[in-house]
Amino acid sequence: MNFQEIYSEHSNLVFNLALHYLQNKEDAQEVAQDVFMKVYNKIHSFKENSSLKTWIYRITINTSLDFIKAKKRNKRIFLYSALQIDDPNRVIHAVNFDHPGVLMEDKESVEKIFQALNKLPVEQKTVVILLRLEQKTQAETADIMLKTIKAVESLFQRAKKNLNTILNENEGL
Amino acid sequence: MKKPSSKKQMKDKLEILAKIQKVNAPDEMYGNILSIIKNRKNATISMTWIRSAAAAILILISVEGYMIITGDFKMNQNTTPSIESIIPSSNNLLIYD
Repeated sequence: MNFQEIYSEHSNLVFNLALHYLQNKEDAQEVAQDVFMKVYNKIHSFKENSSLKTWIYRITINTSLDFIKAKKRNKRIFLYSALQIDDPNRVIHAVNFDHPGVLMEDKESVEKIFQALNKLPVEQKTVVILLRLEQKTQAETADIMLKTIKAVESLFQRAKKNLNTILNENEGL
Repeated sequence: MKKPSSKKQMKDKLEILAKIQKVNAPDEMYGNILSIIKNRKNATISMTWIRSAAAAILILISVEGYMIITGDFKMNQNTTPSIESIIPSSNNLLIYD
């Protein structure tokens, strides 16, 4: 399979997955481009221990998480130097919500859920994205995350509990 | 009326995520990727150039080394500098009456 074929088969998958992590069209495009650069550079070292799709899923997840980390770091440095705040860890990952897949009538409630989702630990966030947004099975999710099905199940239970707490806290404000 | 359990409420909340539609990747993305690949290829120096540069530097260093060694050897053989040639003697004579 050449690069063009890989791109046309996986570009929508990569873009949509990046969108779920970043909830912003421009950021998702940047990440998707970065993902395909990595695929182009590393395709010769791809060992067929897993499917190409699973491999691309993993690259997309890691690149999205790295992007979020870098963005948080930049924002923290900027705010810290601009405002001289006491605790730079208090800066929250604020997203300019621009998800083209969200229906207009659902936008407000979906945005609230994504805000809560962004506060979860990364593994819990990934489980929710793969199971609920990507509609993957527990076995597929476990394969992508290199975990057991039991671990995925437990992560999902914890994610739901934490999401509920965060959403209730936000509603109480 | 009985309040729905928090588990049920959460399930309802998460179900809304399934309504998010898949979108197509932007058309310009493939072109952007190709141009990044092209730019990076142009920016990187080919291995042939790196090898030739390394070989040229090695040759220069060897020639330099050879010249230093043979030059020293000849100097030791032919000329033994006297102390006068190293320290210039002064012709100034200060006479105190």
